[in-house]
Amino acid sequence: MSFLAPGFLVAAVVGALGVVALHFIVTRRPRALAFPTARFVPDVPVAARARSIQLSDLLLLAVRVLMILLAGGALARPIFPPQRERVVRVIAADVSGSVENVAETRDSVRALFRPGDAVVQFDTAARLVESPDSIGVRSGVTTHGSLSVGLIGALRAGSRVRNGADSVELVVVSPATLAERDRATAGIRAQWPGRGRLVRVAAKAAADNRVSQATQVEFLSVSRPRLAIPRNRIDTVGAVVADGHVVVAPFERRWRFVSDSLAHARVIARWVDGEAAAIEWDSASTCTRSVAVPIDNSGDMPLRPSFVDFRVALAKSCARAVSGPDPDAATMLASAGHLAAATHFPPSKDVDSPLARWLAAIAIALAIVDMILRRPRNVESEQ
Amino acid sequence: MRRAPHGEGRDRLMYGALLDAVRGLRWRARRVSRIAVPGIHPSRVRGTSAEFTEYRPYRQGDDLRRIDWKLFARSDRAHVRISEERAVTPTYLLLDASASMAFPDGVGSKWTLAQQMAVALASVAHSGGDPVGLMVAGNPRATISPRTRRGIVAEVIQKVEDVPVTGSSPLAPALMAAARTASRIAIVSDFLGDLDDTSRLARELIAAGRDVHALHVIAAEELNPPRAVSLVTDPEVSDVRRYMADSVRDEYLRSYAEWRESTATRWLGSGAAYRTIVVGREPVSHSVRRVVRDEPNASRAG
Repeated sequence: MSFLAPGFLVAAVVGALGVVALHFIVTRRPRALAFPTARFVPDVPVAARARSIQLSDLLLLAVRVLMILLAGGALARPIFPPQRERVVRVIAADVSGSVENVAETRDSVRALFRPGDAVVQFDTAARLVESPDSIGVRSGVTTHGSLSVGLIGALRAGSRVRNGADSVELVVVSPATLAERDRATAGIRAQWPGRGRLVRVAAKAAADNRVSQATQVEFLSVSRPRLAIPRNRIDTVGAVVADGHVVVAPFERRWRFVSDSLAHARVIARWVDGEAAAIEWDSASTCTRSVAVPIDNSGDMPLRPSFVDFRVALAKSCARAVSGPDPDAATMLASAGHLAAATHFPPSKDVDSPLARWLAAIAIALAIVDMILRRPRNVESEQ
Repeated sequence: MRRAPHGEGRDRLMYGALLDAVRGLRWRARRVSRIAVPGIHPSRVRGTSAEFTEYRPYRQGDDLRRIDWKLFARSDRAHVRISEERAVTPTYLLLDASASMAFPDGVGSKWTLAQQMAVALASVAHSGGDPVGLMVAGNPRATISPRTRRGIVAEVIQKVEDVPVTGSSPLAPALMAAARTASRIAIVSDFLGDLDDTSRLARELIAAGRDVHALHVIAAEELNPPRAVSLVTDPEVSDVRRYMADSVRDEYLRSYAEWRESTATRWLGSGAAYRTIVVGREPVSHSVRRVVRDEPNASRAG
């Protein structure tokens, strides 16, 4: 058995020792004793304080110590780790619109999968699945996937499997097209503390991954941007980022892009808190961009160099190579060196601990017992 | 308040061993009786019984029937025949049933010892032919008038078992009431109540010819209080609340010893037979022997 948050257990032990100490040093008013010859005791103010070297009220002490330890144990979230393997795999399976046939991805994962492995399917979002058979396409998702998202899901899955293995191998099953790689991908991959490998599956035909030539930018719109809806509560955000260009200003956010819109579009600018500030999507031969960044023309912001760069980044053509596999992807994902040691992954906070619920229930029951044990004493003292 | 369970059969069983232990004892009067009723104790009354003592020259006023005519014929002088008379001694057992007697709690209390002393002394006096009565100075006062009839000891047992031990009742009024019909009064008490009034009245009664026994009952815990710090309260005087601790223990022992000394001096000075009886220090039958044989204290209390 191991604990997901052993600090609570240590705190509980310290607390229990404190309770024992309190039971040692408890001071009480001397009990009144009928003594016929009390008149011969000198009537002087005796400020005597008796210190008992024996534990007082052992039953109450036992209940309290047990209650604290069980509560600490519940918070420490004990788990029984599965049988430990030498190597487990975290398989990131691409099910995005970049994949020609998701069944191929599923078959590849099935061939790689062993008991104890973790499977993460990703497109524009990552989700842990129980087995290769559970891999499926999210309804309505037709855009390119994101390797960054898949790698982040893999890192989280690494935390989940860390207790069952000595080493963790990263396997990415994806066509790894250029469109799926972004500026963050390499940095996220670097956070995986070991080598990995790429299992390529067929990418969707180039006809679908067309190169958009014409770009239509709905920029600085005063009316509602397309695919955006009004925010329930207008707030203020301090900065917006597009293609590495940052504009710092007190922007008033009036619009937001809903998740349905994002499923068919790409985010090209984000607010500083990560929310989408501008998106683009392909339609026929046109690439349309919708920008929800309000501009105050009465100030000097449009004249600032940072805003000029930001505006150029948003207005540049959508034309780019979005089709075909990324030639550097295999090198970038595989890396070199040893497999990632399981201990390099932080403990997962999502692991369920059924035993914790039982321990918490028993601790609550003991708290009630503690109150019951104390009640007669209070009544007695009142009398 | 403490009250013993009822049941005459249980009572007899409880006191059986004690009554066996004191069987055959005689409680002789310490003073000559003024009572003319025939008994075992020496009487001031010189009568005409067959137990001849001496001749005395006739004096005017003597009964002519007591003149020994044969001696008159031989000596030509008139002598009267003197014989020894024996009388009974009506005995009252006066028990203190104040709250302080219920210490310590349980069967080892001063009251338990007082009960046993009363039953044993009643048995001894009754076996000597003396009328025995019981008076319990409590609330309410319980009384059995001195009687010589059979079953008087069982009545005493029943009464002492029924009496509640509570409150604070003075001894002096009960002593006065007992002295109206008794020549001998045995007071069983811890004397923590109206000691001044009681001892003063006893002095007067002794001067008037009564025989008074003061049996001072002391609990071992009073002589050697527990060392644990405690708040001690007087069961009869609620205002007295003191802290018993090591720092004041020696002072308590000294004060209590001085009070016991003064109490003994006061009783002995009044002419009473004074005995201290410490609970649990000796068998009750031994204490009874010391009382009836007029032996000094077996050992000094404390």
